Amino acid sequence: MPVKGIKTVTAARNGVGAFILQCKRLDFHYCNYGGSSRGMLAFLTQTLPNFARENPQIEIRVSPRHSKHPIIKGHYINGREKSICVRNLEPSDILSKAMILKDASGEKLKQQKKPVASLNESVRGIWSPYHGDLRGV
Amino acid sequence: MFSRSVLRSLAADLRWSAPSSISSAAPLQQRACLHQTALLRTSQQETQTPYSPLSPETPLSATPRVQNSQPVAQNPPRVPSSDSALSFVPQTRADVPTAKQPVAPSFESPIQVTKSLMSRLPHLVGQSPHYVVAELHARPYLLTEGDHIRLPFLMPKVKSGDILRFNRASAVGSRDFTMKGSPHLDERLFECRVRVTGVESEPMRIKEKTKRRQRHTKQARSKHRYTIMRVMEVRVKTPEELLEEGAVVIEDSEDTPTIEARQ
Amino acid sequence: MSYFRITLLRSAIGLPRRSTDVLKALGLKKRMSIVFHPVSPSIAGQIMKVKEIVSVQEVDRALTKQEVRLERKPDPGYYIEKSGVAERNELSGQ
Repeated sequence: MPVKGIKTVTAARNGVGAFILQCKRLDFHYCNYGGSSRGMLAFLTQTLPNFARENPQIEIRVSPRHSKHPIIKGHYINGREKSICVRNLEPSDILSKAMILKDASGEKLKQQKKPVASLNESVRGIWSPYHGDLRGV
Repeated sequence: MFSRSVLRSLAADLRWSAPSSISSAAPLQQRACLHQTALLRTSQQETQTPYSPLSPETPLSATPRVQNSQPVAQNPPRVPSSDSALSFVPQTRADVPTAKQPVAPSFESPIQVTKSLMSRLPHLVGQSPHYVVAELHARPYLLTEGDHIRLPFLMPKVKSGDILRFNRASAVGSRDFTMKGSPHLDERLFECRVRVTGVESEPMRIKEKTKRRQRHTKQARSKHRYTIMRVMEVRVKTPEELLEEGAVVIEDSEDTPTIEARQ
Repeated sequence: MSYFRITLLRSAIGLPRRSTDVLKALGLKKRMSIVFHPVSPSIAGQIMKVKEIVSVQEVDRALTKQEVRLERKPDPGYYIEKSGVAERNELSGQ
């Protein structure tokens, strides 16, 4: 049986060449009746047009959600979504929540110890005791 | 600690001249050296004695900087203006000199490269991939092209999509060669570009705070945010590029750097 | 005018009351704290009293608190070369 080589698949490395923002869509849900949506209604009329203009790469949908608290939902390229409840928040706070969703990568939140994650092979190779000169102590 | 006699002499004649200087203010000697393989050493044995002299480059702290990239529109924080820079004495936390701020450098004198560094540089440039030990706020990060970085802090005033240049590196190298700075390399010798890809956060941490003899427990919550970025490019400049940018080749002199073989 | 740059290297815990008081008079409260005093016989005498736990240099002028801080502050090591908005404008301009 012939030996088959392992197929390598190109790993996505967003940002090395072109950069695509991971957040592709933001849904803004509000309620016309509820008091917790008051800040959201102000945000939608005052701040959202500017926000949308500054971020043309994000699709923005605004839709009512009757008798529920207002939420912002972000949809990401990796298929996940994140939502933040913005009940009783001021428009400025809602903007900061929208920025959080915009900048997020869409990944599940994880604790990380190491700052650098590399897919590349080690540049200097793996140390071997059988190669190279004897090193003086 | 210092001896009694020294103190006596100080107190006795109250010397007005100050011969001693602050140790940390002493200019850091910048050096650069290449490490080479045993293989190559055999061919270049006669030239390659360990710790062969190269002349020191200009001290990093005093290195005048030339702008070698596109200028960046930044809103400058409170800094002394250039004309009063000499007489300006930083008083409050807000007074941070430009050298300690993330501002694109401007160089006044061209980079100085020693002859031996120039002769070794093609070997390093020709061998890819490269790695760089970049230092951010004095913390080293070993980076190669395409790496994903999650900084242990939220970088201020950057937005996702921004391109950063890392300009402090202690070493740049390939498989067999390493150019080491002591402590840092001149930032015009290499290019390390990084793209900010966003901001991530960690899961909420809840720490229970208890005190003795009390039933009450307090919950301290924390959820830090971190800047994530991607290394776009790690590149060493070729000698031709350096010369094009106006590098001055200087003679090797007695005191300093080393060319070591990789063993 | 020259100054003494005095750094408290070792803590004064367990020292006699006199030495602790001298440190207080010099303004050294904790380890690695740095103070500047003009060179004078009285200051030299005070240093003499606590010479075992301080290090002294003679400098030209007294640094401000912020200058001492800046000596320790490392370089940021980065700068913004191009903002994402600028790059997008460039690409759309082509």
